[in-house]
Amino acid sequence: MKCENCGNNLGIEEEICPYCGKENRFAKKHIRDMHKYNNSFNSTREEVLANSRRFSAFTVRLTVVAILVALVAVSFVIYFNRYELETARKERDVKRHLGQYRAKIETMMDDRDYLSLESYMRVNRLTYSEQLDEYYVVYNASAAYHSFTEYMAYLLDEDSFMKDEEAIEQIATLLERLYGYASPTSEYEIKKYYNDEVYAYIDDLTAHTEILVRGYFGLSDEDMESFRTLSRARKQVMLEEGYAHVGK
Amino acid sequence: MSVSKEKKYVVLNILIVILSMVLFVMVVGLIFSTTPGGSYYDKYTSGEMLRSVNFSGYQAVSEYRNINEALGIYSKECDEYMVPYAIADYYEAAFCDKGYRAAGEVDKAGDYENAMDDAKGRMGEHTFFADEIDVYLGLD
Repeated sequence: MKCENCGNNLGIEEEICPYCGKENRFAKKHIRDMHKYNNSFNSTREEVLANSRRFSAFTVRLTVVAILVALVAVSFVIYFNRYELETARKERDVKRHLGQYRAKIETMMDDRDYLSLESYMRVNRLTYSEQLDEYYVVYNASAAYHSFTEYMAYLLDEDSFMKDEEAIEQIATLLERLYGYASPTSEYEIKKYYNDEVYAYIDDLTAHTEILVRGYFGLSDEDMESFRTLSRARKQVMLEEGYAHVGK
Repeated sequence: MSVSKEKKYVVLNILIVILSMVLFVMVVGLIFSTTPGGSYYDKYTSGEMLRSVNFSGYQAVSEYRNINEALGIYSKECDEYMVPYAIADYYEAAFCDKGYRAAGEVDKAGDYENAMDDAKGRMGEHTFFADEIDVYLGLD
């Protein structure tokens, strides 16, 4: 631009003409305008950045909440379905080791290791496996014997919390159950769960248990012959009378 | 920042803390509610088995031994279980021996007597357990 006074060339930001010394009013205006524009620019930039930060902070928090809600929902579903998940996992394990489990159970059946068989199937949760369903009666008969030994222990323990009558009542119930497995009536169950090996196993288990009952409750051979056909209540009475006679 | 926006942040922060605590509790609950191998049983140590004789009786020792063996822990492979397993074997055999003898099945009781002798041999210097079981069952 040119100086208004002397006509020499001036820079837009030269406030005083270097040639004539007069004030350059355009430069002052320019500088004032530049200050105004800079201030406006910086103010706008700060505002944009501030809004952006606020939006990011809100969005991040909202995203974290959404993710946490999803994770909590998933963990609730897993927690309340853990039994089914565990059962499914166990079924896959049984399928993988089916031969091994069957061989072990068959060995225990052959050895007439009633308590070990019951524990093995219970602890390894094989009782719920459809693939080992054929041992349903074998397991339940063994479990009845296992419970029988537990209630006998309560009976023999003078310091037991359980009263003799309660223990004997449970023993009578367990014997009733055992006799039910020894003489099944359901055609469905006979077809599904019974074969010669199973009958032999349960017969031996029942005979073994009856010998123990005779010994611990002082029952004679004649008593035992009719014992199986008695009602549960009569069984209990006979056991109580026998035990009172024999004592601890 | 306006007051309503500050409140929103506070609410979100509180939600994050609560949800994190809930998630932590759920994860811990899941970890402790499942055991390796899918079994709800854990092995018993030999110390626990020996202490159970005083607190829970011999039947408990037998139960614990059966659970351990179901989990694959046999005394042949773990010397520490030699004595407690022998106690369990002795009790089981003695329980049957008494019943069979009282029922007059003396021949069959002989098998249980052999099992008792074998178990007593495995007790080492702890044969007093066998004597206590004999007193307990009235076999002395």
